[in-house]
Amino acid sequence: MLELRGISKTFGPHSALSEVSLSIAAGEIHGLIGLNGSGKSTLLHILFGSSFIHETGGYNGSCFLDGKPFRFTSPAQAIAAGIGMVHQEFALIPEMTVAENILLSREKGFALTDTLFPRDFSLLDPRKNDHEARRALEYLDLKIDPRQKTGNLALNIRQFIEIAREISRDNLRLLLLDEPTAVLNTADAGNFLATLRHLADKGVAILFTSHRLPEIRGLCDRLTILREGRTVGCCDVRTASLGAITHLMLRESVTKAGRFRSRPTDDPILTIRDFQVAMAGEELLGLDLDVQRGEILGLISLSGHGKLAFGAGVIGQLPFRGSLQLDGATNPPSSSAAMIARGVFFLSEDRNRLGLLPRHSIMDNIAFSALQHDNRFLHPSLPRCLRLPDRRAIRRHGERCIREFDIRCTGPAQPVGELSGGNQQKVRIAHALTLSPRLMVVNEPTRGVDIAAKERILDMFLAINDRAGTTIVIASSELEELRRVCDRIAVLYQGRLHAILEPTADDLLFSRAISGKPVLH
Amino acid sequence: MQGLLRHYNPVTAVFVVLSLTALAVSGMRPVFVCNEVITRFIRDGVMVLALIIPITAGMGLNFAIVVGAICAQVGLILAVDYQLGGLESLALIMIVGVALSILLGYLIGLCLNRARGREMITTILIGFLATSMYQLIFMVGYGTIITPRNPEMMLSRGVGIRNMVDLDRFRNLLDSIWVLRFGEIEVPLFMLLVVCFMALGVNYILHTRLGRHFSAVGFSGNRVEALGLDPRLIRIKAIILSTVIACLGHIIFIQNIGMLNVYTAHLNTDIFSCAALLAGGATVTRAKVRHALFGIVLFHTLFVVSPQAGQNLFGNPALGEYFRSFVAYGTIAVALVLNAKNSDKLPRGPWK
Repeated sequence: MLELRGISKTFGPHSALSEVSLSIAAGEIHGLIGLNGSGKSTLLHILFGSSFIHETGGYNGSCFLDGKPFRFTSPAQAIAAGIGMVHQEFALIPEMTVAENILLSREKGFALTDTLFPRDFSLLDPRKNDHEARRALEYLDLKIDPRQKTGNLALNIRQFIEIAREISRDNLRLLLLDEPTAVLNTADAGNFLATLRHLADKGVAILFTSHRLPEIRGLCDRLTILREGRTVGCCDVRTASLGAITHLMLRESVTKAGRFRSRPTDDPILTIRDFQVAMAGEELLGLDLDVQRGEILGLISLSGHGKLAFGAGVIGQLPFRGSLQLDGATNPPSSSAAMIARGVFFLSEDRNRLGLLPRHSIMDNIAFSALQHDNRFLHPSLPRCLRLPDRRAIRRHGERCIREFDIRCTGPAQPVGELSGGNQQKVRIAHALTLSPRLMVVNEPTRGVDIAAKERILDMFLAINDRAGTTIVIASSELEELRRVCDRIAVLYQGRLHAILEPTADDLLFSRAISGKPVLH
Repeated sequence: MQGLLRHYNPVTAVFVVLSLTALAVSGMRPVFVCNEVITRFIRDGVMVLALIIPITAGMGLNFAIVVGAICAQVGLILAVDYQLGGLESLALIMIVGVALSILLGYLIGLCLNRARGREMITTILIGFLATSMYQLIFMVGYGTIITPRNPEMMLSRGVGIRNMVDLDRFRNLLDSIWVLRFGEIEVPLFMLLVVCFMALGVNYILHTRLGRHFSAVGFSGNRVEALGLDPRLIRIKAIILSTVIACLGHIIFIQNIGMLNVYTAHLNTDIFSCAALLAGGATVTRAKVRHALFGIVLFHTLFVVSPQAGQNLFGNPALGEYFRSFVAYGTIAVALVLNAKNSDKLPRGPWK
C-alpha cells in the first residue's frame, strides 16, 4: 500500500536520511528500529508532511500510496489522505478537555446549523462530541471522563489519549507511531499492542518505531533497521534472531552495565513518614521510607501507583503533607532552590517541559544551575559583584562532560533542542552532576532512550555513586534495569510502600509485590 | 458564590468600588446616569465585542480595531461625498466598510503571523500607521488626486476634508426605532437588541468549529499544525472577524453621535474598548462575552460620573477628565502586569 523509494533528507550540511526505501502492505505492522538519531522520526515526519521538513528544504526521493505518488507539504494533507501520526512529544492541548482533544478538527455539529451555515460556522454539539470521544476511549479500554482537562492527567494517560485521537479517524489507513510505548509501563504497553493488532486486522497499515526490541518482535510482521540514516536491513521478524537485529542496529555489541558492590549502611540521608503528594494520576497517599546514605535505591510500581510523585514531592515541585527529614533536619523549606542548595537534585520524567532549556547550548545547560545556585563558573578576574560568567570555563566543562558522557553532538555550543532524546538525557544528568549533589532523585531515566545510550546512562549512575558516594533514587518501570544497578528496590502499591526487595530476589516475588499481593520474607 | 470567588478579578473589584464611590460623591441622579450608560452601552458595545475573538485565538488585545473604525469612517465619508442618506445608504455604508475591513483585516493578519508573540505591540503600531495613512488620504488626497463631489465637506482652500462633517442624514437613524420610555428612562429597544444580537453572534462563533480552532491555536500556537489545522489561516480569520465587527461597531457609534470628527473620531476607540473589556474581568489571554457586557456598563458608569465627582471633591471638573484617561490606561497596564505575573507560574498540575 505504501512504498518509499530512495528517500534522502539533509538538514544543512548534516545528512539525516540517505536512500531509504520501504514498503508496507495493508494490514501489516511494520517495525522501524534504530538508535536515537538514526533518522526514524525524520522519516515519519516526511510521510506526515510536517512543516519543518518543508521549511528545511524538503526531501529527495518519492513516496507512493496505492501506487499514486504523493508529496505532502502540510499535515492537513496527510490527514486528509488517511495518514495518522502519534507524536513522541505530545500534540495535545493541555487546556482543552479530553473530548475536545480527541475530536479536534473533526468536531460534530448540530445537524440544523450544519445545513444552514458553512461548516466552520456550525454550532458544536457537546453531547455528540462526548459520545464520540467516549467511544474512542472505550476502544482502548480507557475509563476516564472525556470532560476532564488533559493537562491534569498523568503522562501515560495522555499518551493513550493521543493514540485514541488518531485511531478514531474514520478514514485512517496508515498509522505512524513514533515511540508510542516509550512512556507506557509494561502492562499498559501490552494492552496497547493488542489494540494495534486489532487495528491491523481491520486493514490499517502501521509503521511503528520503538527502542524495545522484544516488543517489536512480538508485534511486527516485518521490520526495517536504520543506522545513521541508511537502511541496513529489512527482514521478516520470525526468521531473524534478536542478536542479528541488535548487531545490525549497533554494529558494535553492547556491554551491559552491572552493579559491582553494595554499601550496606544504616545512616539515612532522607527519612519520610506518611508522605503524601497529590500528583494527578500518580498520588502518594502516605509513604514511609528511609533512603540510606550512599545507596542506589530503586522505586518501582505500576503506573499510577505513585513512584513518580516521590521526586516531585521531595524537591518541592508539588506540595506534600507528612514529614520529611533530610540529614536530620525536619521539614526543611521545600522549594526547588532551597533543596538544590541542600544538595538534593531531581530529574523529572518530563524532560521536554521541565529541566532543559532547549534553545540554550549544551554547555550553558550543563553549567546553568551551578552558575545560578553555587556561584561557580564566575569570571575569576572580576570582582564578585559583577558576576559575569566565565565563558571559557563553561566551555571547558561542557567539553569534558561531552567526552566523559559520550554526548553525540556537533560541539558544546549546539542547542540542546537539536539533540536526540538519549543525548538530551545525558545533558540533564551532566547538569545534575555538575552540582555534585548528595542525593539525586531520577524519574524514568531511560525512557525513550536507545539501548546504547541506556547502558551509558546506567553506567553514569554507577560511576558517580561509586566515586562521589552520591545517593541515588531511581523511579522507573524497567525492573530489569533497576535490578542491575540498585542496592534495594522499593515496591509501591496504591501510593504506599508495599515491600522492599533485594535486587537478587526472583521474578515471581517481584511480580507478586508489584501487583500488590503479600510478600513473605 | 464559590464560582464568583474563583473568577475573582481584582480589576473588576476596584472598578465596582470606584464606580459606586464616584456615583455617591457626584450626587448625580441615578436616572440620568442610567440613561447615559444605556446610550454608551449601545454606542461602544459592539466595539468591545470585537476584541474577544483575537484574545481567544491567543493574540492578546487587538488594538488594530482602530483599522475597523477607519473602514467605517471611509464608508461614511464616501456616503457624504455622494450625498446619500437614509437607511438604504446606511446598509451601503456597511457593505463598503465590511468589504474594506475584510481586505485590511487580511493584511493585518499577514503582518501578525510574522510577528508571533508580539501581537499587541504590533497591533498598536498598525493602528498608528493606518491612522496616519488615513489622515494623509483625506487631508491631502481629497481635492488633489480624488475629486470631491460634495463641496460642502471640503475645507475652504479646496484640498482636504473639514475636521467636522455633519451627518444629519444619518443622525440617530437607528436609535429612534422602537424607543420605549419608562418614566424618565429612555430605552432604544432596537439598538439594544442589535448589541445583544452581536453579543450572541460572537458567543455563537466561539462555540462553532471555527471557535474551537481559535481556542486551540490560542492555547497551543503552532503545535496544532500537527493536528491538521493551519494556525496561520486561523489567526488571519480571527483578525478579519475582529476588524469587521469593529467596523460595524464604529458605524453604530458615529450614527449615534451624528457628527463625524474626520481625523480624530476613531482615535481612542481601541484604548477605551480594551479598558472596558478588562474592567469586566477579562484578561489578555481569556475573554468572554459576559466580560464585555459587564465591562461596558461598569467602565461607562465611572466615565459618566467622574467629571461631576471631580467637581464636587476638588472643585475642578478637569480633574475628573484627567481621571478618565488615568482609569483607561491604568486598567490596561494593571491587566497586562497581572497577566505577566500569572504566566510566570510553573506548571504544577491541577493544584496550582
